[in-house]
Amino acid sequence: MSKKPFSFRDFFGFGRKEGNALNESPASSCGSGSGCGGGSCPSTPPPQEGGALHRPANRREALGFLGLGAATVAAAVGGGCGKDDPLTEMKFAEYFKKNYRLMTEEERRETVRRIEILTEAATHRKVHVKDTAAQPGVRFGYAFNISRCKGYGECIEACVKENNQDRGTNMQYIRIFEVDKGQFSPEHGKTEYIHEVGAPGKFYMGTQCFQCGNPPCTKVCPVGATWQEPDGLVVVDYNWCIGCRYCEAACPYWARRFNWQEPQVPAADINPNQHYLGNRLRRQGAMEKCTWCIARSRDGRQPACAEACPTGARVFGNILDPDSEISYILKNKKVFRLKEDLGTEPHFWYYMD
Amino acid sequence: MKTRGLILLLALSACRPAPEASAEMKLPAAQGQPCAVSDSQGLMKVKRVPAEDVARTGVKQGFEVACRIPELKRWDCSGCHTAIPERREGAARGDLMHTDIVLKHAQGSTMDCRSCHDEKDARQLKLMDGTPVSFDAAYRVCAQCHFQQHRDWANGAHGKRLNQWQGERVVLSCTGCHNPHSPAFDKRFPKARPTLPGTRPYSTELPKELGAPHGGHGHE
Repeated sequence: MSKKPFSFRDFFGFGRKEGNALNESPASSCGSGSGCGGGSCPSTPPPQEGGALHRPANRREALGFLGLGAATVAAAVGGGCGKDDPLTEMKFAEYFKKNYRLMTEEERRETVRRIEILTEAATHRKVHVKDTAAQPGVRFGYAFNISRCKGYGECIEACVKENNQDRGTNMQYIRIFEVDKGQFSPEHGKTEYIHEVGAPGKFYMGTQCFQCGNPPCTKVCPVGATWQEPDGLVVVDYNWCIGCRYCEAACPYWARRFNWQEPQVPAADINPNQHYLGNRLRRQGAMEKCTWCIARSRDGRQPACAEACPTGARVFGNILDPDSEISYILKNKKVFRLKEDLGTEPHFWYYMD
Repeated sequence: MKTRGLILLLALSACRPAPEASAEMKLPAAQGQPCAVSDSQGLMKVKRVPAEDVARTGVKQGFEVACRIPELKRWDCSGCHTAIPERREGAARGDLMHTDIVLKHAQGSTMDCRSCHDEKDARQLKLMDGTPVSFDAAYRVCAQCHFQQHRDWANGAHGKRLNQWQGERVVLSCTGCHNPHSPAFDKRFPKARPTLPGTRPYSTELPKELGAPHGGHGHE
């Protein structure tokens, strides 16, 4: 922690050449003395994809190591007892961590461990947060049988429980539309049906995130906080998200959900099987979305909605495996996708018996 | 009162662990190597589907199907029935023990007990040609008429896979979801969504008991 009074020259990296706090940042150990203001630093992790992440500068970390007014930081991370308290130190490290895609294996393990400890401290529930990577040779696909779905809504219940969604605003990733037979689009349907189902003359059409092959939502993110994983899952780094909601506007399927208030999940109902990019506890101001239950699907299990479906209308699998059930459906059934003309290539197919 | 006592007796005798029972009886189900699969449906015994059972569906890889006998509440049937009684014209349903069963399968009186149950051995089902079939392989009985669904089921476009999308494919048999005596799914209110205690989103206004669990499980 700097004992000097605050100086704008130091803050922007124009201070002393040697011993500049910016140079001591572990992320920028190139020692060129130029700070992290834009020079090319050889130790920067190689850029993967996306735009904003290419910048070698890491302003959050720089700010953290500058010791920019301990009070500001402490207020921001919600602690009051200074950096010596281990929990505050952890919150501090969490606040100034990198984008998930730029983290090394080691850094990912550390942040996962920190989240586990901080969650336990806040909720008294022991959780397991995973950072499982995508399996090679897997591209997930989903099929939904509109002649089988009866609108019972078991999938929605299972989804809310599995994904630790905000109970305060009744956030739900899945929408089941009750549509008159003869119509062909959920735009003519209703999601709030309060009567016995399946009603005669109606069919039911579920929507959620379709994990598009050409996702419009990831392109509009100004900070690179959302991207598509190699197995096709579109994920959000909740810590990197600034809450601008561009992605929500870009999605033609209304698949993204925003935390307008601090999410409320009763401690007893928290699902402890969590993934960093999936169902870990979110914060106010972060965007979230369906990830086809990344915590389950990457372990070979079906998403909660598919497992809970009592009518067998939901089929989940690997479309790269020619012997999978989903491949059979794509080859042999009448399938269609929603708003196919937009070119978003959703990997979610509706089919009929 | 007498009938009630008899039903109780039946229910008690049904509490025996099913796998042992099937082993004693040397049913086709016990010949395979049943292993258990855990799912939201609970722990289930499964057995492999023989290739000849799905020979006409074009299935390349074998798969496993959840056993039915451990799910049956009043197993073993031969405790009461030595044979399935013949249907008497004009007989009231109350004349039979299974007063809770309402047959709503096919039209009118096309079917009766002996359309699927083996009249000579109550522990088994039978095909139209009289071949006995285990309750665990009920899909063979259904496939005689519902061949399209059978093809889709064997290939994965119909029916329900348990647990994993990866690895060994384990599916529910037809009777895992459909009540064979009334195969159409019941109408019911949609499930209530989880919410905070003390709040009422739209669907929690529905009576709780109407958000009933799955169709087929636990019926007799």
